[in-house]
Amino acid sequence: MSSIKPLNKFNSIFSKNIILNDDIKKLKQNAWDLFNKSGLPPSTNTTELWKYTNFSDLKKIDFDNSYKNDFLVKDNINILKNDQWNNIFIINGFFDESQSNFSNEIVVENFSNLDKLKYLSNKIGSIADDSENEFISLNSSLMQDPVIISINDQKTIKNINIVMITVDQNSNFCNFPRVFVKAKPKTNSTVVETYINLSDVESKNLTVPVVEYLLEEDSKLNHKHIQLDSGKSFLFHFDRILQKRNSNFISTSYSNAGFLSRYDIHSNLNGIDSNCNFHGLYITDKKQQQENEISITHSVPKCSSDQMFKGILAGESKAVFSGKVLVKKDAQKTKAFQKDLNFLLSKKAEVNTKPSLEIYADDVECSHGATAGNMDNSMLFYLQSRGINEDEATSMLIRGFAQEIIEEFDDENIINFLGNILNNTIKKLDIEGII
Amino acid sequence: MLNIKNLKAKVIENDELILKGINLSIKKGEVHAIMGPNGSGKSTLANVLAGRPDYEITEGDVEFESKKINDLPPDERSHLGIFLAFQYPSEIPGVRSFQMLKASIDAKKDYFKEKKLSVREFSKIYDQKVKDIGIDIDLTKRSLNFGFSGGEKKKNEILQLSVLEPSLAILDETDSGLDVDALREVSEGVNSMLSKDRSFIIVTHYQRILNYITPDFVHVLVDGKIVKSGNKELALDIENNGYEKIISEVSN
Repeated sequence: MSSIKPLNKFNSIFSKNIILNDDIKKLKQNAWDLFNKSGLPPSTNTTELWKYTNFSDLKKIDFDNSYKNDFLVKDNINILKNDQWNNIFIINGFFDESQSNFSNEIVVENFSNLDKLKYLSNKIGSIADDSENEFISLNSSLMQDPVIISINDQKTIKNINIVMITVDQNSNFCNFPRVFVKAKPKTNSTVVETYINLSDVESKNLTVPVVEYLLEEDSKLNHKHIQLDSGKSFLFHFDRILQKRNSNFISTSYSNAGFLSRYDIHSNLNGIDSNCNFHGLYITDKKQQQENEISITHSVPKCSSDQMFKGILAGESKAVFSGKVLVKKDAQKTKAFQKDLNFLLSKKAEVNTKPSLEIYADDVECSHGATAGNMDNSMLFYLQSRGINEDEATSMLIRGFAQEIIEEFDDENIINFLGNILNNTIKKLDIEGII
Repeated sequence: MLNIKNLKAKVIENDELILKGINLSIKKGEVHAIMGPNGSGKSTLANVLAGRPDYEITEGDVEFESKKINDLPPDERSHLGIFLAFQYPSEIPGVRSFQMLKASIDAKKDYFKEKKLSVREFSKIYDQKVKDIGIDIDLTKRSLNFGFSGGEKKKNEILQLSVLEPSLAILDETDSGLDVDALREVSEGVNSMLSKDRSFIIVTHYQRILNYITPDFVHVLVDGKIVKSGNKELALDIENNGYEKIISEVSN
């Protein structure tokens, strides 16, 4: 068996850590010790969690987290801002006060709120478990400016727009954004969680965002996740959710892949009558890889969950869908559904879909299913016979496949924004050799 | 307007020859019925005329408005005025009827270098046609043909026919799977489109749709060839005596 060594290259970053108080120091040290024990996962498919991930390219890079905070990306940033929303910008892992603006409906804290540090260290890491995943412990070790957002107001509040941006000056840049969102009891909110890579397309940067969500009793949170990765970058994005009694987490996601992107989301349904929905769309092209690791733990009775992902794959790209549902022994009356549908637009594209149900209770209703299909020639001919040429008909069918998920974003601004991105992405897709 | 000369066509996938020398001439404003037993090549003829890429013309010519169209792609045939109402219209996820027809009209305007209609101008036309054909407005908000009944699908084909206003409409077994009421409604839609400038090819196995839409000519297709042509009396003869009689007549 090959021994797993940690990447020493992260050592220098860890030693440069800004440590502001003992609690944070302890949290970081514990996480670092865990990461040192595990290291990055091995390069080949030796573990179930990383079965389809190839780390060899990542391991070749000496990462660095230094950058000068003097970049000008305002034009790019403005399209991500919405004057009607609460905007919270996290750039290269740091909360950016000058770009952010929010009302007192929410409370936002970060490292600069020194008096709140004690409070901060009680929250960060309480839901995302450092021992669970190598990249979560790496984030905890190397995060520099965690942000806590508290939703306190029970009346309807403006959307909370969390924008995480990677914009590097060096190709080997790495950053570790960290956010904790707390939805107090009886609140109803919408969080738009956007990750965008604005670096050069040749850049091989690494971003590991970890976002923790705590949904207290009777709270509802509409989660709209947008991943706009590109080029040759690496992204390991984690959402970790803890749901209390009668809470509802409704998530819709859109993922444009980078070289290797992973969207890893887990909810623990830990209070009865809770529900979570994870619906998403992923698009891969050329030599990109998008991994979707979606998992739900039903810890208590009478909860429901629904996973529905759709993939569009072109070029020589790969996608992974791993949908897990764990129904614990006491979680009777559970309802859990999952589905993964893929549209393969090239003979060389590949999807590995791996739905799994692990059920220890006996009174449950669960189902799962997965499909992978090619372009339907009958549909194509139908549209062509109506005067629509082959290229436009092809785009129309791809857009149509995506439309169901896009519409679930249920917000005109976001639907238009993503509609444009989708159209541009489709135009560039490498779909030769299928028709 | 349509001249089919010694048309032979095969299925590309298995090389099977289906049309074995069809000759047919259709003038402006005429209604032609093509009847025949199952497997005789009726639907293949309809699809070959519309340019379905699963078939290959191995011999002969199809001339439309004095232009040879053998090698034209389906979208170009549509622009020139050929319309196929499908026997089994595809269900297309995420694409709505309005959106598709707007794209169709836009493409046609582009082709003839004419000014496109605005969404508002097109909406007006579209809404009126939906009303005229009698389509439930809720259906038009769904993905195309998704969750439509057999009758609704066929009515939706007639809606497309009336929006696109082709000069040649080919109805491929439009009557199949329709109950009496739906058949009457669909036929009324077709009759409202009859005009001296528009020709129809009605492909059908049964005579009953011809009780509603009166053909000028009836052709019987057997084993990839037209074996007999006549007027609407021929359809009644088939209804009474079946295809067997004609087949035995021809083979004698």
